[in-house]
Amino acid sequence: MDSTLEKNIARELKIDLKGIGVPEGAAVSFVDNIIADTKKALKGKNVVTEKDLTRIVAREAKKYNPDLAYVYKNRDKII
Amino acid sequence: MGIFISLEIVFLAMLTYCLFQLPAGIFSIFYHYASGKSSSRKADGLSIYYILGVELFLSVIFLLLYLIFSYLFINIGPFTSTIFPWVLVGIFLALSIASFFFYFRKGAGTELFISRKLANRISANAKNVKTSSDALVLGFTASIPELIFTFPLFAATAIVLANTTEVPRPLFVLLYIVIAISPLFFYHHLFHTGHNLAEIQRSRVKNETFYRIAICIGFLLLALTMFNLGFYYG
Repeated sequence: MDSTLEKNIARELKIDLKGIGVPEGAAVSFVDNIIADTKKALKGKNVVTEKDLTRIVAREAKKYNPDLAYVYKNRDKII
Repeated sequence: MGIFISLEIVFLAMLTYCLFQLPAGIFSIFYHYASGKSSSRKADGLSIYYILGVELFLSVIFLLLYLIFSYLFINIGPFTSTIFPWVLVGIFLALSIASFFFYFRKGAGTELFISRKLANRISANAKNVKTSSDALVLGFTASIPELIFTFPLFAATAIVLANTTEVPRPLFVLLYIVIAISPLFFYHHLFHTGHNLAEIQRSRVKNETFYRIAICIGFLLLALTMFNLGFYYG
């Protein structure tokens, strides 16, 4: 996962976490852990589509905050 | 046209409009990202401009239709003696079927019938609201994609007001204003009292079938009311 993509995902997760009301300290910790777990999950995969990436991030996020995982996975399904 | 039937049409039309999900869905996205990027306080401030934008759009549509129908019925006679009630019966029947099968897309979430490209564009705009003018414009344009379903509702309301002399029109206008934007105030209240986008969206997904059936019944009741108008008053 390249650094630009990592920064974009981290930014989106921080916005979502703040939007659902998670305090900033906890949010930073969640984001770091989710990014680390996502990188581990992506090891060995040569080709990853955007949908795959969203699914993997949401799966890793669910361990820390189910609401975050739901929002991240379903953000394009609201309208 | 009698007072009760006039009130019934306005009330039904606006209640049916309340069940449509696009302005409320856009509001949810906008509020979540506004509070995520800045603060809940700023999101609260911007949400008032969003609601104002929606109300502005409803007012513009209503005024245009009221002027058109007032002019029309001065020249061609009362609404009930024309072909219009029967045209509206047909339109409402068609919309009741179309809304049941096509308003929500099949699949997870509450994806609507609008094209995915347009939906993504609207979502992107909602996520990037920064100023009150952005929020106002977003609110003003929020209901436009749904006009194919909601335009006859505004038309029915405008026709009733253009043909009613027995009740003060401000009462109908008040009903129109208050009922039409009440779902937005409800969603604003939900966000303001600590509910987040995940909870609200789960609730919308759970109630999708209810919305679908209620919109269908709303259109059917309007068709029946128009049929009565055409049959008994025409």
